[in-house]
Amino acid sequence: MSLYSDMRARLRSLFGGTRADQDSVEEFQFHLEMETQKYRNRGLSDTEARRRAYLAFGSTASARETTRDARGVRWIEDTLRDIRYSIQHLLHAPGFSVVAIFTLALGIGTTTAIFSVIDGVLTRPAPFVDPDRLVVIWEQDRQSGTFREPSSWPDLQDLRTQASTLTDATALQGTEITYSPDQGAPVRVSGMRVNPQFFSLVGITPLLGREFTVEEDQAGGPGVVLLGESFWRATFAADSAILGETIRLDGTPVQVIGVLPSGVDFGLNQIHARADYTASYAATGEVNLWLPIQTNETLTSRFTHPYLVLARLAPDVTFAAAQEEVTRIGTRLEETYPRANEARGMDAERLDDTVFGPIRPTLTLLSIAVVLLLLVASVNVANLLLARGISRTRELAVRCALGAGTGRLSRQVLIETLLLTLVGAIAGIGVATLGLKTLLALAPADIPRIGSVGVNGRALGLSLGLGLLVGLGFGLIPALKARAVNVMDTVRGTGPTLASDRRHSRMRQLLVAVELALSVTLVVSAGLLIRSFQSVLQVDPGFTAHGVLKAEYQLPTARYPRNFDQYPNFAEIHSFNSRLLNQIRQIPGVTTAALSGSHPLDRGFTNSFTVVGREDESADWPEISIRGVSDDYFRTMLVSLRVGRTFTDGDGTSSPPVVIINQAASERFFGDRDPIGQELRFWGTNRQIVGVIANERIHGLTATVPPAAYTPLTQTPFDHGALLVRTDGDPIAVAGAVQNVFGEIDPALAIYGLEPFEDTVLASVSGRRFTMFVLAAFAGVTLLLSLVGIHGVLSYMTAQRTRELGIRLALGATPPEVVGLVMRGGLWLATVGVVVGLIGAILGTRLMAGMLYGIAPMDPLTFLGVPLLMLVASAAAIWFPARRAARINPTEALRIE
Amino acid sequence: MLVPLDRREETKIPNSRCRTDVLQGTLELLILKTLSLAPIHGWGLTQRIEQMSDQVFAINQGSLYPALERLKRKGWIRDEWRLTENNRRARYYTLTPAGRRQLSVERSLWERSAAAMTQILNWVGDLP
Repeated sequence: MSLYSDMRARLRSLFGGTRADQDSVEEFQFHLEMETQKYRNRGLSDTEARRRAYLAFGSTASARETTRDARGVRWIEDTLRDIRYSIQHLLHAPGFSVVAIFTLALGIGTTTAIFSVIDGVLTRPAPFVDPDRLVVIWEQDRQSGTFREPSSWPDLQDLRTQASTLTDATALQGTEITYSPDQGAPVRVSGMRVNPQFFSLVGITPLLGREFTVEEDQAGGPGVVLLGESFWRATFAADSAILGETIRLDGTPVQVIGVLPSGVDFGLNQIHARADYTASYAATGEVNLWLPIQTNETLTSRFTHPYLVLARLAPDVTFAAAQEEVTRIGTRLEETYPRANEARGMDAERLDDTVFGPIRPTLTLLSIAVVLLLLVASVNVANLLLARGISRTRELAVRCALGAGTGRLSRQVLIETLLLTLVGAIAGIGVATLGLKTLLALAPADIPRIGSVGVNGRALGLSLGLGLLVGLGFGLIPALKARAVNVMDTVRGTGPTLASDRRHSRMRQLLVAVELALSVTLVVSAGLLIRSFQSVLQVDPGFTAHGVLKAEYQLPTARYPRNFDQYPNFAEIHSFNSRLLNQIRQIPGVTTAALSGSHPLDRGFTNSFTVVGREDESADWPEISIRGVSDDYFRTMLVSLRVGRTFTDGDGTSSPPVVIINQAASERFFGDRDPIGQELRFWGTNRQIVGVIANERIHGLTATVPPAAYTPLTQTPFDHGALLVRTDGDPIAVAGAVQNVFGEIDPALAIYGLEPFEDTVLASVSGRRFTMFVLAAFAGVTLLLSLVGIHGVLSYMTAQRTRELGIRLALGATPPEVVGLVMRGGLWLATVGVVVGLIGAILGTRLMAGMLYGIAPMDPLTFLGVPLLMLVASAAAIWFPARRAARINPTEALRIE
Repeated sequence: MLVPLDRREETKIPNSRCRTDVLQGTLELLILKTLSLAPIHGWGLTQRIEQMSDQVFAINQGSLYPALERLKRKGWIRDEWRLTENNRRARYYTLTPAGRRQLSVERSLWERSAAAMTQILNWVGDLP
């Protein structure tokens, strides 16, 4: 037999299926006629001849069947017929189909969206060679209680020469740079300064051109830059002719020597975001420019800490061994340089932990939540299938009696489930796409790689697989049961179905209780997050963001020189500041305007200081946050004064130096003493404290407020800052005018971060909002699904009990009694579900410990409110079937079946 | 005209006459052999086999057509619609070259097992 002829015959009969059947029929006809003729020739009557012929041949139908079997395509034909039959069947029960498909789509879609995020963010390996061998080296400042500080340049050099557990280390310094194109307005772009070792460390080579050399990295080295791939594509249209050209950065010509591929900046923004402080750097988006560090011990002493450190473990060295050695080197440096390195130490952290540490708990929580959601959805579908399976027991039994094999019956159920799941999955892709879009819009920008996340095939496959598993598991139960069913009894509608029904009912009730429990867990968790978010929003930040517009800028040294011999008399900067403020104040709608070295939610920087007269004591104090502000700052941000006075225009460049401290500083450093009139000393100047103001939450809404000292910008000029404009209307309305003023004063200046300050505040809690929103959405969907579930089960159970309830009514039970009977059954289920769910929620709070704010983990409002809500909602869902039960007409009920 | 054979048939259900159903697995060999003589339709096949076996073999008509379908699938026979001598449309089956080869294979297989069978049945004397 040749494979070819076999295939051809099968295909021919498959596609010409009906024709082949017709041919058979004609052939049998011919056969019967010939046979009849034979008997007629022997002298039998026509009728008798035909009868004999038919007897000899047997059933033509069965002959046709066996002939079709022999054609070897039966299973395909059967499958096609089963699919047609299933589609008809599903169309005949549109309610069932729509609910099942909708449920599956929600379950599969949301799960796919979340798994896509997790897969894109967490599981994809970093684009580096052996990324798990990379570590971040942190310095500490135990006096300030900070453990993730950048390193000093000399400390990094000592680490490099002394650490045998590290192959190499590089400094990293995120920076913001003004790029001035030949035409058009200057733009602010992100830059990363690194040592040439960086490239070999991460194992990435330039897309074009070359890396910079060790010689180019020396202090005073040439101006060279590598472009980030996206920046190169967007700004230079991916033109390789840019190599060797010079571009203007911060007003200085710099030669482009190469282009680095996207992804090479993996994790660097997150390292910056986790540092307790860094220079002004937005730490989001792809790094645009790569520059050498170009420093030495003279330019960057052991007292300043500008450099984050990335290092690679030496081959065969464990992380623990490296960590131990790094700590030892830190201690040794403390002993060797007691002045510079006092209370400092060093520690190593895996790059992976640095980068994903903050987001991991959120993603873990969300993935658990979404699996719960998928479970609830699957349980719902399982319940639907089960209910349908039971009502089909009779149909299946009839088909069994008519000769359908159990294999065929199982296949039919299988196909129906597969069809449902498939359609659900297709709709789920839509849900996933939409969901992901929403997720990404809400996601905080500092989640690593969040920008490149898309609906992911692997994630879809996983969710689809889970959905199928549950669907098939429960879908097959009735089909397998059909095998054991007593055909006669079932067809008659009596017999053991009642017992098996009761077994099914128990399973369905169990499933519903599980559903309710899962949704209680989710709703409580979401409730806790919502309550926390409320608390966060109710936090008094110390300032009023409403009505304020913010714009940031960095003054280039070329046009705004800072001659430290004349400090603080930087004429260009002072003139810029006063011109800017004067013109801004004239914009209609502006009530006050102020400048600040860093806006109220910007950590800014800290400095060591002493209190004059208490030098010994203050040597052990943590550093203080220093914030230069213009005299209208407190009035613009509505920061209330506690004691003393705020700044006035009398606090000029040549007036006696003054300082205002915040309440935290007053409490920490002065306690019961009166700080007014005392003097703080930093930057070589004694500054008299003239006032104490309320705490502004400069480390973020939920973080402890550090001690801070405010100085007049006139006495401490900053080359960067934020313009804060209070308006009497919508702040965005003056944005255009504000931009124009900047343009008039300095057309070459790049401004950035122009937005209502309320947006800045919201962005600072975007991570929290993201988690809350997603969890709340999941909880809502789960709640809805479980209510549909309990409603469905109760409806079904009531329908099953129609006869029993009818008898009760006939025997004198009142409709309210019947309602009570049904309600009791349902509410008992709901109560079991709620109690189990609460236990789950209590366990869940452990996962959320770091995400709660301003409420107890066992927040009474949530832990009492949610169960109550669930019971009420369940009662409503049960009410409908209960009412239906009460309206049963006893005579009709008894006539059924 | 009554034939005694047929009288018995009257009282019994079909296919359980005193004739022998073809041996399991030999139906295909019989079909191949019959078709090697001349192309013929299904009914003709049953008649011819019965005649050639002196009415010993009765073809179970219910198993004939599936067997033809199987042989067709294996590429050993071909079918085509032709007209009979009486101008009736009928499906004629023809042996293909592959079928002819298969016939000689099956034939030698059959002969070997038939010889073995005969040898066993004729065995007299000591056990080997």
